[in-house]
Amino acid sequence: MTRPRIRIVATEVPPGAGERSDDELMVLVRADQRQSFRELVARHELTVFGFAARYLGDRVLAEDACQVTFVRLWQQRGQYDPRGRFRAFLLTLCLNTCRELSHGRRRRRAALERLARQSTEQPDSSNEALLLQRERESVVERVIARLPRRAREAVLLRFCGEASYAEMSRILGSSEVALRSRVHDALKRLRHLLREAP
Amino acid sequence: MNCPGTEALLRLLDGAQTEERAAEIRSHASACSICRARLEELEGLVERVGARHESYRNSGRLAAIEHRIEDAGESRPAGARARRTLALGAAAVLAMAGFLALVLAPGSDNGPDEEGFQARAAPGDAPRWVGIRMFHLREGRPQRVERVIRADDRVLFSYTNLDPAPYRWLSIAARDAAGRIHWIHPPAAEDPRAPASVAVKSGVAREELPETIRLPLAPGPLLVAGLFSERPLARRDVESWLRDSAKGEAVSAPQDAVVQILSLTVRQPVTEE
Repeated sequence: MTRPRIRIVATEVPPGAGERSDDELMVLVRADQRQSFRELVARHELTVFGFAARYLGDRVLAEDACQVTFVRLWQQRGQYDPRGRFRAFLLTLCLNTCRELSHGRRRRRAALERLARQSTEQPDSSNEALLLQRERESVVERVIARLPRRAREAVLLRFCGEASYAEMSRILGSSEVALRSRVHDALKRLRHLLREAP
Repeated sequence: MNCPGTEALLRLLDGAQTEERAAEIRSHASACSICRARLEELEGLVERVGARHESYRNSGRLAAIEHRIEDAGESRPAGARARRTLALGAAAVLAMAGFLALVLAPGSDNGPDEEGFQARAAPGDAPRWVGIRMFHLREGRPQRVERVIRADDRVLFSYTNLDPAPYRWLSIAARDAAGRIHWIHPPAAEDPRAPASVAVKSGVAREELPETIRLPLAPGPLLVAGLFSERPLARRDVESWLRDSAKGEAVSAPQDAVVQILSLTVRQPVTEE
């Protein structure tokens, strides 16, 4: 039996909120303005989820990582200094969450949930284009997840998180030159892995 | 110019080439089919690594985040769900106002965490995403039940329904120390064919059920079960499951419902001397 899809939850956005910068929204979030927090989630959820999906190679774990990242953003809102570094702040939270989730009990538990879901969910086989698209996406996610951790983190921060090398240097604690080399090596390896992928 | 190496192409895509060198490489690639193919392959690779697919969107994510913030003891972004207008009597309105205040007020979640619930296995269950919570009135205000209730307590319930493929029906029933079955949502009915489930909203982190209930509970252990299902359940199935589970047997939930159990103790009501 096909189960109903989740209802779309409307997100109310006050006039002008979409035009505010991340820093301006974070200033409002620090003052417990909850609508601004929702705006930040809506603005960055695809980046955070995409980063986590490729880092972890597992969408169930990535959903967990995405949610935990934004929970921590709310919890640590008081620590944010609005000096134009929101992306680095959010990516650091996301990176640390992914590192934690890639080990330990939570990973096993989420994997079990994924198996349970796979046994009950039937993909909508009528939409072949969507199925092929999903498969193409998941191939990339699995291949990136096979990269060594340091290479994976560098290439994801650069192209998924759209971080500059200066931002990456602050997050990862390596020199910009070393990081650029690491990113290029990771891309060469990815090209090789994708050619081999079925 | 000679064909650029892979590193030169990567530096081009990474914005690390000078404008002059970048123009030179692009000019060469437009005339050299081999380099054009190599460049397009690398451009495609970078695009795939950074793509933000629409399938990454999840309509229940925001509600789940807010629910987790609340569970972590932080104030919850308010107004995330529609609040229902309840046509209740004056006393019930006061009780519900207290209940809403408890559920929505920042930092007011003083109940036990999800460890208070025991998930009974059902295929594909996801206990983090669905659940019930029980409250009792104390001095006119609802408080999250802390494993012990009094036999004369008035109780209220809320539910969470955030499973990625959410459930549509909920039954809440209890079995007391005397073995009696008490229907809570929906209430008891004379007609055995009466519905045994109430329709629930999907994508809600916390939705209150609009009634306060007093049950004639026997003192001793009390088992309260919330059964989430895709189809309405039959009363006899739920009652049979509650009785069988009392025997300590591993019993499948009716129609593969996801069941959450709250194990409580009922104490005698306090009597004034």
